[in-house]
Amino acid sequence: MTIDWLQVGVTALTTVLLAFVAVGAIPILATLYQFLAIPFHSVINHYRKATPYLPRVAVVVPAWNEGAVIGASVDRLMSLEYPSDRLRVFVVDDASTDDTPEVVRGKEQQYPGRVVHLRREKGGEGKAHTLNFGIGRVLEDDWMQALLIMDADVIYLPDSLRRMTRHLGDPQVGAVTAYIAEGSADKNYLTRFIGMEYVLAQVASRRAQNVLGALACLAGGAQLHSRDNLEAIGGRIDTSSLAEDTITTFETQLRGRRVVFEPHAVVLAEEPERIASLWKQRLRWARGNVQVTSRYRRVWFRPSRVHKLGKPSFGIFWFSIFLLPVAMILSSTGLIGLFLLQSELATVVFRAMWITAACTYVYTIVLAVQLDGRTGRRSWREAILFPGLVSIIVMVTAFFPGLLERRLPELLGIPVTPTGEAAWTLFVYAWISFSMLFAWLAKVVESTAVGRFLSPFLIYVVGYGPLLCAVTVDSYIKEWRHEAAVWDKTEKIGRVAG
Amino acid sequence: MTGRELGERFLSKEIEADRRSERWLVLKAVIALAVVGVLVVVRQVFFG
Repeated sequence: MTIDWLQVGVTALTTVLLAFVAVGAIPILATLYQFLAIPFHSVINHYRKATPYLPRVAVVVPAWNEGAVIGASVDRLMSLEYPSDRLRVFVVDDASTDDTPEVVRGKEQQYPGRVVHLRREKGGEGKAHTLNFGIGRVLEDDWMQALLIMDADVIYLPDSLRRMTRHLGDPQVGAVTAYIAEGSADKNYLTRFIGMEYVLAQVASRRAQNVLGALACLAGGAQLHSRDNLEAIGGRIDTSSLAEDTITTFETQLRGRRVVFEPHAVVLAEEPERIASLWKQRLRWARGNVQVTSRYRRVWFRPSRVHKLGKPSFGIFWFSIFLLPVAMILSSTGLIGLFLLQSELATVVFRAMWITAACTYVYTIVLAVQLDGRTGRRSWREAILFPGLVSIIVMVTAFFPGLLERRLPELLGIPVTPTGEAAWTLFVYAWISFSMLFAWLAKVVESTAVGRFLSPFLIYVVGYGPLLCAVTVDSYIKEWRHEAAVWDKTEKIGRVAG
Repeated sequence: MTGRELGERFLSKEIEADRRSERWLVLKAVIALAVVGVLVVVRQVFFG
């Protein structure tokens, strides 16, 4: 008996390529699973354990050159629907060189005993250091029962704080976060995409995380901690990474306390209106996630009785986002390899994967626009084009076989040749990887003369999702090169419409 | 706003209202699934 080594090699290679495609399908299935969990929030939520609870809240606001926004922010905090004798605001002025100190001192006089100006003479070390300066001051006496960490530019809707504190009535809850909604008055295509992203990533996904019992991140601009929890995690915010809010979230849960997302507490934030600013902000977040992934390597996929961060489902969600670019490249490689080896199997696998992607996309977007109708109405184009026009065409190719590659050309009188069909197939299989490259190009051309038109055009065609994936790739490269992790503050100019 | 204005009864009602509003999630998910269902039917009828 002779062994056909060529056949063995082809079979082995086919198996490897199928595995590549399977890895590429994991993020799609993880998203579907997460979004299918959302309706269960109707019964699996924390409202039954929430109680009317209005603790004494100290609000710590880090402020570096926030003169344009800090006055309005303090006024908004003072007008929150919350007992005035149970709310104090500590603005930590991080060696600002603008008129921040004067503005805050004016607010101190306007609201005596309720607004405190804290000045750091040595500034520029990052948000965590600034917060710790304020937290240290707040912990000096026992007045504070809960600590609210926020950003200087965000606007809390009047009922948001009390909607958060009610969950701290349950001692099992260590921290609560709110829905940070994109709130710029002068929206452009990018802020509308970000608005839609926040609906998907917060109002939708964090409800699912409530159901599954583990939350990935307390929003940096809206995290409310009980005093017990704050002291349990060391009474300070981690300063060693770029993802201090994620680390705080993990440390809270690792000690057995719950973290709750409150979808009805809404906080408006100003988000970048240019790709360059968004890239800078998201690169910081993505590099932070690389650091978090490494720091908690003994937590992933290790179920525990104390916390739920080790649940396989949570690990799959985390790595589906963290390794999404890798999954995209593997799926393209697998499909192209299968096409070159035996094209019929490639067609079957392609359809299975992209039909699942199409169903997931339609389900998630239709559900998301209903969860925040205001953002959904304002950003319906960005909701539809979130994955990009080309990816939608790829989904249509998979979902309605023959429509784009045969029926449409016939209708238009365009002859279809086997070479043309093969080229189209290869393009479709490869697109998911190349989309990241085109998204990066949108950033590159933004600063050119044609950038004003070409960048938005590219993002609508290529997709907002691939743009975030391109940032993730950049974060891998920068972490791999051990490039300096600088805490670059995103510029805010007070565009939030309250 | 004072603690008296934000009485226990008012806050309890608010919690209950938010808890009840979460029930709409089921209908919203059903609508989203129905849209997917329509697409699947179209596929089966015209491209099956």
